[in-house]
Amino acid sequence: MKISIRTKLTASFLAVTFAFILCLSIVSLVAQDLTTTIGQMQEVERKVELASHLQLLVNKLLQPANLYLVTGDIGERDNLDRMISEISVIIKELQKQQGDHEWQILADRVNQDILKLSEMLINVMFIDHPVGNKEAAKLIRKANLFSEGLIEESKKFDSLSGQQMIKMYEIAQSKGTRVRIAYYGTIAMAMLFLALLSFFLSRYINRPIQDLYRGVQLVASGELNHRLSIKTRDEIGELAREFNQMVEAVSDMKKDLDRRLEETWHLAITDALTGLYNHRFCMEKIVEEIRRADRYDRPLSIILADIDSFKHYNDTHGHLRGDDLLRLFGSVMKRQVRDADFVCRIGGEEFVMILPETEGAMAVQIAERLRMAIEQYPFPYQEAQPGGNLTISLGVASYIKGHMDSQKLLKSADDALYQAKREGKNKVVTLT
Amino acid sequence: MVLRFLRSSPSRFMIQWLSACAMAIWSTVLCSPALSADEIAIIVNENGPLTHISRAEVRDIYLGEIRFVEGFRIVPLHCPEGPAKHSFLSTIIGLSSKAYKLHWAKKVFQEGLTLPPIKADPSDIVKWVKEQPGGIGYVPKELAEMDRGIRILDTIEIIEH
Repeated sequence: MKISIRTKLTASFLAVTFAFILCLSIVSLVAQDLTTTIGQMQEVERKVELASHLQLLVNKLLQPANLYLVTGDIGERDNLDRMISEISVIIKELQKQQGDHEWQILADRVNQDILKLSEMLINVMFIDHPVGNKEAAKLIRKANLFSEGLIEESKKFDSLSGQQMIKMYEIAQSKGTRVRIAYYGTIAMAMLFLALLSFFLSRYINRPIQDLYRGVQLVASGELNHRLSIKTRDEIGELAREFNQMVEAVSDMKKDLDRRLEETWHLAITDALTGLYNHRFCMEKIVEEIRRADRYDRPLSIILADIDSFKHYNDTHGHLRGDDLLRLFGSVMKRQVRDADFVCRIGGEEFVMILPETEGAMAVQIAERLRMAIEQYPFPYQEAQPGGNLTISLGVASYIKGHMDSQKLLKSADDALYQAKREGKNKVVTLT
Repeated sequence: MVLRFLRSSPSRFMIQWLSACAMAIWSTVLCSPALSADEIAIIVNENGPLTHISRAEVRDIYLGEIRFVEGFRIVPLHCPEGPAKHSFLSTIIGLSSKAYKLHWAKKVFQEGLTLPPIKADPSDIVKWVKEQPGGIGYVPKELAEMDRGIRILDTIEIIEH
């Protein structure tokens, strides 16, 4: 199954977004919880405020009646109305507050008591001649006493809301701790997640690209045997697979080319008829070997060989048999020299043997061995040759340092061969 | 000469005293309609829902029994303690001030109603009734007759006591 880089990146992006939203929602949920608690705390604070306000208003409720007793002003009755309006608003709000059963009962009781107090005050305020009236004074004292009881009663609101406040405070503290934990936890999680993400990105995108780059560099520098080992199932993996196939093809082509070059090279230096080295190789080799002999101060000899009366054989038995003979000659000669020596056919029936590391005396021995081998070899149709046998003549020349070049060496061997021919063939001659 | 007279301290005291007296008389005439008016008028908004209500309905409104008419919130208004209010309460409601107050104390603390507001100035009452479709009040008759946008439901005589 193929998973493209785009899919990987999209998946990473989605994962990051999802994690981000998750973290945010966790924090916001916890924070919202705290906000709710804070809201509740504000409610409780409102209760405390209301309770203290109530006490104040109970005192104010008494004022018009007290003033009426002093001044006898009937306008104070209107002021009482105003006080009743104010206190009734507070009482209504106290009753509306969310609270436990105890709170509600207390609020209802305080409400009843304030009604009772109001009635008492109204009674006081409709006494016709209040100033100095003993009856009125008695009534107002009663009302004052009653209001003190009422204030004591309403102080219970304080203790109730105070308890609630402490409870809320504790809850808020624990919730605050939870918010902190969620906050730091989220940050830690986010960092962990990012680290994981960067690890995966580098593991599955970055590293394959680096591997690809290094592999391509290696192959480009000529390491055709190198293969990429990227196993990811995305575009990079596909690219690597294709690249490997390409390198395979190039490598095959190069092998083929090398083989062909080898063949061509072989053809270029080989005599087609005998399979020995050809004239060109011979000349190059002699120059090369002279150079080597010079450099390391080593001996070097060459043998020039020529089949005696080959023209006669050719004329008598035809070119095809002449060619067969040349081939046979080649193989016999090759068998007589050492592996390090080079046997070349440089002309029609002329052969050169290059013998590195070989003194003149040794070369003469080799030449003599060769001459004997040919003399004794039962060549086909050799009876028809002059003397009834097929033979060769050989000229041996050794390189003398400082006095010779390749031409002179060959000339010397040629001279020796010429002398051997002149002295009646089937001979080895050396002039050096 | 005149300036010197005005600057002398006894005359300055006299001027102050005279002006205070004038202001007192003026304000008494203006703000206590009970002294100068024989009748008070019960007024409602001309375009409101209360233009054709009976005395009994006025009573129920002032006792807090009727609070909405045709979807309008009804707000009854009072003037400050005095002969006008006293006459209104005894004629229309049939209760003494004390009994009325006791009634409303129960309404406020037991039923959660709000007290009818008190407006010190009768022209404030007129203004309020003109602006609020559910407004109802009682003012000196001359004041009510002067104004448009309100309707006089009924008039009652002021009972001196």
